[in-house]
Amino acid sequence: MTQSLSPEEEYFYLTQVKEKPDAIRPLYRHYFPRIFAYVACRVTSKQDTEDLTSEIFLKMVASIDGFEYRGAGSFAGWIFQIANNTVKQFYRADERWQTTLIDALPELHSTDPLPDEAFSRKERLRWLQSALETLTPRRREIIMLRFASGLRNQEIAGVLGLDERTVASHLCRALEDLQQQYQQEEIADE
Amino acid sequence: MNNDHDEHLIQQVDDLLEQGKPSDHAMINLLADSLAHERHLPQADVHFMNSLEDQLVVQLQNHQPPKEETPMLSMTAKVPLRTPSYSYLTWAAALIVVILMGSFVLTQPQRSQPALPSAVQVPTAEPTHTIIIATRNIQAGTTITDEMVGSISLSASDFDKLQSTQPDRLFFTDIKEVIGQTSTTAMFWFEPIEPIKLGQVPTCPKTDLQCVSVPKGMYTISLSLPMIPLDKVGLVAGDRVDVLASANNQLSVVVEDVLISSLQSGKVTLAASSWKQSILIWLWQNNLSYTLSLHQGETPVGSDELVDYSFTSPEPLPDGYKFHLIAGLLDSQGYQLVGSPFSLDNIQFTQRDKLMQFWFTNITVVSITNGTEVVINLPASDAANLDFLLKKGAKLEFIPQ
Repeated sequence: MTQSLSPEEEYFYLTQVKEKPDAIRPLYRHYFPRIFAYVACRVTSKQDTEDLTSEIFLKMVASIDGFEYRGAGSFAGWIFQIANNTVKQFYRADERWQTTLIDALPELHSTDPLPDEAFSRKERLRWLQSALETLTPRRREIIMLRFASGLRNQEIAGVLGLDERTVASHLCRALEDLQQQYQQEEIADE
Repeated sequence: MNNDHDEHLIQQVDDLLEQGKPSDHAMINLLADSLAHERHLPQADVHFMNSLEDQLVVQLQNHQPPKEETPMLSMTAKVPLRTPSYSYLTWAAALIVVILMGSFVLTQPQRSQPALPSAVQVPTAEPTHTIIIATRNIQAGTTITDEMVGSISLSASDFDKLQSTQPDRLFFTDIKEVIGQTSTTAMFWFEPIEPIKLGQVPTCPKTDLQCVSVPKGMYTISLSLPMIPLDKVGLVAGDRVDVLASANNQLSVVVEDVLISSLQSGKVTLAASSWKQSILIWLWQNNLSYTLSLHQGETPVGSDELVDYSFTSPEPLPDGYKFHLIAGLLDSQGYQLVGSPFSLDNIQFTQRDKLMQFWFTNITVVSITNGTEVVINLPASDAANLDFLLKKGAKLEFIPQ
């Protein structure tokens, strides 16, 4: 089961986790889906996804005493930094893992309401997958971190070791590139 | 680079991802719709997720010697002693008030946060508001007694903060107001008690034609009057009605067959079974416009004939595993449960956070093949309802028998 936390709740649990180990549960339930999805979009097998997810959370727990809270978003940035480093260590080469980034784009869900809507969504995903391939690895990574992992720009900056303004700039250029491709596609279809 | 343009784009992304506000930028909408929705994310096995969670707690416990509990609030009512082990639900309930009491620490601008202090600091501001809270976990359908509730005092700013989390939020201020009432939803330790969480059974004078007694097993909720006045559509207390809500300028039934219990003081009180109540609470919480129309027809109650029902488990199950099934659906999806083949009222129901949970306990596990192909035996009406719930997107959980 997953659980969503407000920044205040997150801070509260962080203050408690030293004294009360059960306080890790809501934090874990809040971050698990995002971390799992983050890893699943970067490795190809389910076993690797589970192994890496476990490793990330065990590292997080092992080093939580040293974590310094610096306001809302700092814990998310920290845990995704652990995730980022863990996945990088797994591949030991940046290029290789970045190329697998969008292999696991979402499948259609069985509750999609209407067949034509489902078809249209599938087409859009196919198009999106190929459009994302045209972006630079860094911009693609930023798009995935912002939209699929739900990190704010400040948190992404922490994960990638960039300035927040640089992240914002990459994000805007990526959006414009994708938008331009989208419009060209529409014109071609007409 | 155009800074204004970039800022505008970034703001639109933030607004959409954090507040659900649609963007006028087609690509932002497309990315959010395709990648950001939780249901599109790769999903993990529940078993894996749960076992890792337990592993983390054990790892933390191994590093930390047990310590004495530090009381964080003083209360004017007797509070049962807390057990050393806490469920996350208890944590969540306690949090609601504790966070407010301690949240001033978090909201000070320009203040540098200490590195993980051992306890949240509680302000000592003069209390100006008293509210009633649960002093133990209370199940839905429980008659409230004085042992279950207590009062706490909040400063004006903390009280405002609590109230601002939801418009028109009301709290009880006197324990006497809640004693004897029935909880319509589960409430947890330290959770503030609100009128919406209690079924106030109207006492109907015989002469009052705008009020009927609430049947056993139903809970009530009071809503502001619907967008179409009831007298215009000829509805009175005692009528069984469908609740229609407006979405995208289109009305559709969100809950069917509920009872108008009373029409008083600019409010309509609806009585319904607990699962329908959950949807009505969701409707109220989201402040959605609604209207009522007379309910037509009957939903069959059920059938005792036993049938085999097969399904694919979302997680591998061990051979010979005996279980109860929970079919869970978000309350925001509850409107989809209109038109169930048999009445869902006879299925045991609980609400956990935003999840509506239907319990299928009267089942026999016939076979489990390859871990995921499962055949169970259960009453035909339950099988039909389970099938209906799964088709509406309900997720399964397995509880050992």
